[in-house]
Amino acid sequence: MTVGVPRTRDRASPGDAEDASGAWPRDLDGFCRAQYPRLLGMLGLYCADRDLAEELAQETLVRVCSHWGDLEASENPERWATRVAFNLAKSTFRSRSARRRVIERYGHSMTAPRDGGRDDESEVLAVRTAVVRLPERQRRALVLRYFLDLSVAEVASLMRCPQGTVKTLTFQAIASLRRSGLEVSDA
Amino acid sequence: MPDIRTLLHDAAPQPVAALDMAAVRSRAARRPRRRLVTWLAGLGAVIAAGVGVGIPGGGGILVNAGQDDRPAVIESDSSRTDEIVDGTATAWDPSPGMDDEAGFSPPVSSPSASSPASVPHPLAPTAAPSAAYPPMASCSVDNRDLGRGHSRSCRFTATTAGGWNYYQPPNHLPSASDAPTVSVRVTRDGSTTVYSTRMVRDGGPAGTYHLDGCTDDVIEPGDLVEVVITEPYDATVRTEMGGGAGEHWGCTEPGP
Repeated sequence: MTVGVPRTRDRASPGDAEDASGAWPRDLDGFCRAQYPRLLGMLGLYCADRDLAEELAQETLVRVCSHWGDLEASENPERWATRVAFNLAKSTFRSRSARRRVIERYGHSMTAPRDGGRDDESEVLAVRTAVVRLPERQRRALVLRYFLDLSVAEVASLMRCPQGTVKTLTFQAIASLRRSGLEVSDA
Repeated sequence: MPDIRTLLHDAAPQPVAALDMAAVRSRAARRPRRRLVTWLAGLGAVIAAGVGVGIPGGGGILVNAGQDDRPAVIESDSSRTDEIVDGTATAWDPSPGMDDEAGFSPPVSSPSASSPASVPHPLAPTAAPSAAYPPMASCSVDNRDLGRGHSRSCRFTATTAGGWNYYQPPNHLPSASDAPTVSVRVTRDGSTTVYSTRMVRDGGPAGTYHLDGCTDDVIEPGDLVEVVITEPYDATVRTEMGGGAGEHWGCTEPGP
């Protein structure tokens, strides 16, 4: 399988918009282009709906544009974008019925042909299925900690909870993934 | 056996096309702008500074529009509330449990910067949290099926910190100048601060309007909070919108 999403600031994919120093570009277009795959991947795992993830990622970047004057000077604009993205997603999922509908159809939307290039769609689907069935906080902690590669402290700050809670949530999430049949080594 | 990071990265969707920045910028340009109202809020703070701060005995109302928590302008009494929602309403999905509440005075006038400095607030709670203000993290209301001149509200005693914001459904039509007003009344230690949306006229001869209003971190645990949405009497164009307050609400924490 391919890995095409930048995992961390210092492990970006080819073609990513980071500058030579490894720092995120501070111009708006560069920042948005660098954030888009990151947000799309994060939201795709969180929502299990590719179309919704694309919409939410773009809406997040729309808000980034609206607030760029303030964000440009801030220390961590990607943290702001991450929080906005999750809040948008959470708001979308406030309706249980909406979430149920997404879960019912996730298999179709997440395995669409335009996702192409996968060499093992069934495994991808199995992972997405297992992740989307996690409780919301476990899912969010898992995606922040292991997809975005944020530290426990950063995740705790974003989730506004103690670091111990983050460790518990990620431990429980991985345990749930294993119970669902996924083979996962220790992080 | 793959580790969890590899597993997640392999399963995450990847972009199939480059980000269309022109479209993103275009959408951003159509979003409500808040800077002007922030500036107006600051100006209002100067005007209201002498009258809005230190009201003897508390119980006064400070009205704010914009992103800071400084008092901006003083609002006249417009506290008629026709429906009280149980506070669990979600976006465009009104919860059951609405009921009529009688005994409120009708709206007097629209908000005005030249109104008196302080007016009694008939809804301002002075007692401890009660059944009227159940402990909750947040609540929201919308104007679905709300008649002209009527209001809908939800109340809660904040269990966590938060802010407020308004929201509009996806693909909504541009806001008309007679859009509903969302007001958030935060009562702490007997004093009520009211935050409210405003219609701000854009520049140019076209005379279009956009909505403004939100504030971060103005609600603390224990505050008595009421979110009210009011449909204008003279609304000619239906503008779908809602508002909410509490946890996960604020300028950087968008509503639904």
